[in-house]
Amino acid sequence: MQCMVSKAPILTEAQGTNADRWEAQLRKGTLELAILAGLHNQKLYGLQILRILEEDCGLEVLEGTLYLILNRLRSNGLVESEWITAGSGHPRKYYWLTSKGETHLQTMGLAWMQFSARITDLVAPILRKEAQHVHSAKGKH
Amino acid sequence: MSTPPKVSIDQYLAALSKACKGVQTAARDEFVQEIHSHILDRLEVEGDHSEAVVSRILSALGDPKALAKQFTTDALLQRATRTTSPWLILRGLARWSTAGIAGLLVFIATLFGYGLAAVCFLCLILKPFIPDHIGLWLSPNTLTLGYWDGHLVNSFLVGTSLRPPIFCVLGTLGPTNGLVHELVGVWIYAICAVGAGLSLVATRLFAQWMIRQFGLKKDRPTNPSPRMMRGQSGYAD
Repeated sequence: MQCMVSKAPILTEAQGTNADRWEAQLRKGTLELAILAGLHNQKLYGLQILRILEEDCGLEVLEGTLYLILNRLRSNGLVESEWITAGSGHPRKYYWLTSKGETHLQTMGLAWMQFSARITDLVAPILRKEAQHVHSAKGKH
Repeated sequence: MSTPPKVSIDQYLAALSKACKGVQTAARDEFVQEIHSHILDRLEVEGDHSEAVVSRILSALGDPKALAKQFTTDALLQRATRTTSPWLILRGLARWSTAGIAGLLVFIATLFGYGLAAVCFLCLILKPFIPDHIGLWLSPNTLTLGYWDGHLVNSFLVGTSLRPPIFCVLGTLGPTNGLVHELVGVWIYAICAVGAGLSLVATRLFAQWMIRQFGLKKDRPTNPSPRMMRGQSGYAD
């Protein structure tokens, strides 16, 4: 499963605290979308969801916080859960999307694609110009 | 592979369970069981069950008290959205009010709504016993639904009071001087019955809508917060 949030740092050069805060907020804002996308067409338990968030999306979440978010998603009717005892010997709580959750995921995904495409259109030329400027300055030296 | 240090895991789970005050037992136990299951999964992945590994796993979960506090707030708010009990709704909102200004404002507004219902209800109960003191009173600049002490000077009116342009209180706006008129007579029964019912229902719907819209949103500050800032390894912001 591929998440829509890049694992690479979004701001490669910005080191300031404000930029870090902004990036943290941005990543935090995509958590729900990433969790719902991770649950698309599959049943997963907490640790599996965490792996998707960390490995596929580059989103680090306090592990306890994930269960709070899942709890809220369940209370909002977006996911459903069930305890299943499989090979490991201890029961695990599996989550999956409800039909309401699928619809919500489609809506959120579409909004994200449209929004991120517009921002990319706005920012990409600036970064290209900056890269050309740096390249030409290096060439002169 | 060594046996995991059960004491520290049990201590963590016990602290988590103990800190989930006010949550229904079934919901609390399920949450604790899920966290326990997560710890077992992590131990299975790690393979190594040394004290250091267990300590790292528990640290990654976050402070049990902070986790329990957030879970309790969520649980009480979720319960508040499914009940008609003013007590449970106010209890959930009181918890939310400790998390930020939005919760505090909704709590105050809801308290006022239920207070208005209580005034109407008390008027209904007390009117047959002290008919000359319960009513809808018009005194200079003030309209009050509730109790009047019967004095024309420094008269004391308690209930729901309106004093244009901005004052609207539960309780009293202070003593007033001058004539006091009762406006509705026996219609007070109908007014109070309708007022109490409407206040109860409208306040409940308002509070539950606000909780669903703002209280149970994912972006409400979580404590502990997700550690998403690059280079930050701790769990506190």
